[in-house]
Amino acid sequence: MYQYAEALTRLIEQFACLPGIGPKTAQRLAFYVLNNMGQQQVEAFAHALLQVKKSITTCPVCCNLTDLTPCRICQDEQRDVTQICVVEDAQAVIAIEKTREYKGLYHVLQGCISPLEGKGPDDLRIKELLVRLQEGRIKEIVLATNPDVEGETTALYLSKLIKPLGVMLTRIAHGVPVGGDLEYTDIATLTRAISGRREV
Amino acid sequence: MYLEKLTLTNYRNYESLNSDFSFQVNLLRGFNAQGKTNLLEAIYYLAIGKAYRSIREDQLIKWGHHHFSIKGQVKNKIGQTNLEVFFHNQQQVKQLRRVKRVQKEIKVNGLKVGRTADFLSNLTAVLFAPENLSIIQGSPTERRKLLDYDISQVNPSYFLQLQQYQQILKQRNHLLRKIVQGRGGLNELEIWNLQLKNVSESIIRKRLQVLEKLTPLTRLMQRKLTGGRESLEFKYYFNRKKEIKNGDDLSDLLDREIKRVRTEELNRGITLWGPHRDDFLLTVNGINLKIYGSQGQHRTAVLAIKLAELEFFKSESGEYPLLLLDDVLSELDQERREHLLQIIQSKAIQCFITTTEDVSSFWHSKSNFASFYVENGVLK
Repeated sequence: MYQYAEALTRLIEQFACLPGIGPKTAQRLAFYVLNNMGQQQVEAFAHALLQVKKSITTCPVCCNLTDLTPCRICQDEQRDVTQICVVEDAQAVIAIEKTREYKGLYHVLQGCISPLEGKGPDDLRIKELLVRLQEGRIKEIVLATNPDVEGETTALYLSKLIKPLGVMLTRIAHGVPVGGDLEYTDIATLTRAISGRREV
Repeated sequence: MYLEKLTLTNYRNYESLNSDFSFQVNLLRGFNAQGKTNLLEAIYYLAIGKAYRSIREDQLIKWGHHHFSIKGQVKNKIGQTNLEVFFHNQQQVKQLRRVKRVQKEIKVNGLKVGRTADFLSNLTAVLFAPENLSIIQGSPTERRKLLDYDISQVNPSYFLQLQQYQQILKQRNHLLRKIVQGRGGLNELEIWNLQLKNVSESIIRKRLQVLEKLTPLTRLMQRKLTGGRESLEFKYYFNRKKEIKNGDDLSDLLDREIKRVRTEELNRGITLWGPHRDDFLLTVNGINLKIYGSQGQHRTAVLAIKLAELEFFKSESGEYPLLLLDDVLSELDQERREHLLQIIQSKAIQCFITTTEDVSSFWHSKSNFASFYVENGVLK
């Protein structure tokens, strides 16, 4: 029985290692690389893969992903250095940045407290956050962890830890999506929105 | 509210059913094992959004098929609502691996809803089946289930709290096991205590409130059924030991309990407090019904609770729920049966009654009365 040539088999195996890609898709991708991509394109692809591993590190200040040390946000002199927004991962930073509403700094915990996934407070970048707080510049911490059980627990843990330090602590609001229809909002969200209502 | 129309596909022994129902009495006659209970079960599925009797849902599919669906057309005070449940279970052998794809979809008026909580309270139903005696005779789990199903139907946010509770409990148990095994984690225990305590407090408070509302209603029904001879009462037991009442300081109680069981929790690695360990008892004239009551007293008490539930649902949602009576007419003596039928006829309650014998003679008025003969998954 013949198999694919060695190089092609290796490539299929590599694709199959990626999340969400089974053997069939891996084969399809490998053949696409072989038949449809030009030499230049393949080189650019390979280069991008190597480059991402080589150049991306964790910012020693905010623990976000970065190609500079410290990261671009931490270096930016326009930002409000008295505010830190605490998030679970790098994707959340980008999501909040898109609003262009928040001008402060970030802190990326790199996860949340979840015993089921074997993650406790010691596995998160909390120590780094406390170091930043000791510098004394920070006036407000915005807790922007996810509104699920694990995210709420993480926020609660941080609030217990930070509250005694005398820094203002806020939690992002939960509620109805803007432009959404109340009629089609799920009960969990609406319940939260109602219990977290505010005076106008 | 009323169930106007029910459509079943590959559900249990129903390959295809499409039936309209009467707004009052629907009698389902037939021999054993013809599908009478399955029909009630399908209706109840639309009320609680899942299989009753904690059966695995893939077992509801008719043998030899891969999916089932239940569709109901409900008319309530607001208008007409279409409910739909679709469950698909396909086992495939793919690249020598067995792949199991389970898909459950629930729709309200043709729109897919993501959470079961959004599905609830569109159709409410009270089910009375012979096995309901377990409310008295069975384990605490059965009693908690009764409360949880009932409250969830009229208060979907309670259902969400239960789900949240389960998730926190799972996390906390995992953490306790980790601590027992000496893999650290003691520093986050307090935070999980706090999380669990918050949800526990609102779940227990809601249960106490509901029991407080159910008590006078049940007592009234019980007196009617027994001619004023007995007085029934619910007692809620925190952690199965301490009796508590609506209005008690739950926060303080939970704090003390958390402290009390801490050492044992850290030895055994499981959570030893919370609403999943509570129980409630039924007493008649102050005597524990589970231990000292007769079989007949149990049956009357359960009937009284079920009738009280009808009124409770009405007071919470402004409408009577459906009443599903599974094979109970034959078990009641004449006095109780007549009282039950009188209640059904005097109020705007749609009910579905299964029976093996012809009981249509029990009804004096035959308006709004429909009788079906069930034979091997077909209604006639």
